[in-house]
Amino acid sequence: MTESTLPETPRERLVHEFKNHLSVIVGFCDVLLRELPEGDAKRADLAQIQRAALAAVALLPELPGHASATDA
Amino acid sequence: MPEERPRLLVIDDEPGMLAVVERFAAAEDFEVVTRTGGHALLTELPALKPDVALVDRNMPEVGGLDVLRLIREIDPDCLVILMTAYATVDSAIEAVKLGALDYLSKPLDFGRLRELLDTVRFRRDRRRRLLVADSELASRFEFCGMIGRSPVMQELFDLVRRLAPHARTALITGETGTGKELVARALHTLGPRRDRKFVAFNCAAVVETLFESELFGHTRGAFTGAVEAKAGLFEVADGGTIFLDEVGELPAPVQAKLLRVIEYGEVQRVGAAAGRTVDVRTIAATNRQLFDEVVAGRFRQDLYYRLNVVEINLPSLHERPEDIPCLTAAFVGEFAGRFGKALAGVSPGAERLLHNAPWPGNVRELRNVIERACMLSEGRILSERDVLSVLGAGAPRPARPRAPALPTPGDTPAEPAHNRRTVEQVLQQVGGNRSAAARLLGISRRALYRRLDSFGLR
Ligand SMILES: Nc1ncnc2c1ncn2[C@@H]1O[C@H](COP(=O)(O)OP(=O)(O)O)[C@@H](O)[C@H]1O
Repeated sequence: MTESTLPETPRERLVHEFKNHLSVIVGFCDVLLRELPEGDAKRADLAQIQRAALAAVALLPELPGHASATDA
Repeated sequence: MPEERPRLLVIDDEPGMLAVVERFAAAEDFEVVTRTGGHALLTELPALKPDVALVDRNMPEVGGLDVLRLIREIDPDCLVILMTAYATVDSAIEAVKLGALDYLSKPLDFGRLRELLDTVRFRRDRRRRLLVADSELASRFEFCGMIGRSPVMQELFDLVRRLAPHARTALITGETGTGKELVARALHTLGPRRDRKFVAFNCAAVVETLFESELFGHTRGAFTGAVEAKAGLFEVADGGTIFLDEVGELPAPVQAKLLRVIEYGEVQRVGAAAGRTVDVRTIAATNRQLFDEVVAGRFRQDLYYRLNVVEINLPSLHERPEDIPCLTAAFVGEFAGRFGKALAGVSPGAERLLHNAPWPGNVRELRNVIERACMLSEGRILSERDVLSVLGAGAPRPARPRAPALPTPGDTPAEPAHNRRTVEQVLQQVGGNRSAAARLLGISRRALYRRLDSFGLR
């Protein structure tokens, strides 16, 4: 079984990897936010982390050299 | 039975993803199994039996689409959700076409994932409820160890109930494996002789020269080898019931003697000068058209009319497919207990297969198939694959050979004839896999090819 499911260029691969790592950060924030009771002081911090990670995800397509960056 | 949690299999090459999904799904009360790749799936999947798999599309070695295909093939009852950090519309469409439940992009939207997991849980619970309902139905539609919810079987149970107290002789007709012996036992159990003996005798399993002494007994020295006097089965069954299976196989002289027992209650041991009197209820069964045997001069007409005063005809399983789910449920329950397995029932795919199989061996064959599938299964539910791997393998020959049969040159065992529609349907069900189709149809692969040729389907 062989199938090229990985992104083509080294840069695309890098973007893909970044997105994976950021997804883990975003995901754990989600999970922790679900676990912490309403009004817990740490919730605000977690929300900050998650917002930052999501902002980074949103920036990925705009990295110079990324396929969709040129359309933008 | 403690409620088991639904099982989620997560496959991603990024350990962080596995960890976060595991954490999330566990909180949703799923049992989570994680893998960093799809390489070992082929062997692992049958034992893992996940209800749902969440698979990363972009993995080195085995890609997510291949994993999706593999799961669809091996365990069609497992739902698959793909996820990707690299989504395009085309890849999403492709995934859904291949049977994925959904296609999620990373970072995962956990709200959406929760909805999907709810769907999985709902489907599984509904399935369970149906299975429980099936086995409850099975016990509701049970009659003396026989299960049948179809109107024909319900009517037949009713007939047996009404006849049992009265009938002195009965003829039970029907294909092999339709439950003729069970009906005979029911007649006995519900009749006035229930505390007396029930003796079963298969006329197809005895060598021609031994019939007489088996049934009627012999005196000492009646023939070479008769060192001791022996009572025949009619004497053994005195006061009770004798069941003569495959009565069409009886040789003519024995037919005459049988008529005497039925008419006058008189048996004469081989070699004895005088007869003795017995009081036996005679129930005969045949899978042949006994009247044709009469017309052909092979079966005594007077005996035939004597036997068929009461005739009970068992429909083939093919004529009562409504019975298949409750029979299946009952057999799964029986064998799960016997093999000590926590099997709750069959998957929808497996049920479809069972429903559409031709069953030339009727209920006996269905029972054998379920027995074997239960033996092999490693999950909580018999899957399509479990059933497919044993279907057809347990089919008995269409007719029992006369013992001892002499092989005639060029004589091949008769193969069930299937019409074009059946063959097409079965092929479609197994996705064109001809070996599987042949097994399902109970014919050899070569026979299937011949048939396809004759239908112009090849
Ligand atoms: N209606 C039924 N419900 C449950 N089991 C059945 C039913 N009919 C047949 N069987 C099972 O199928 C097998 C064959 O039945 P049997 O009475 O020996 O068939 P026959 O005498 O017609 O060949 C037996 O194991 C029997 O328990």
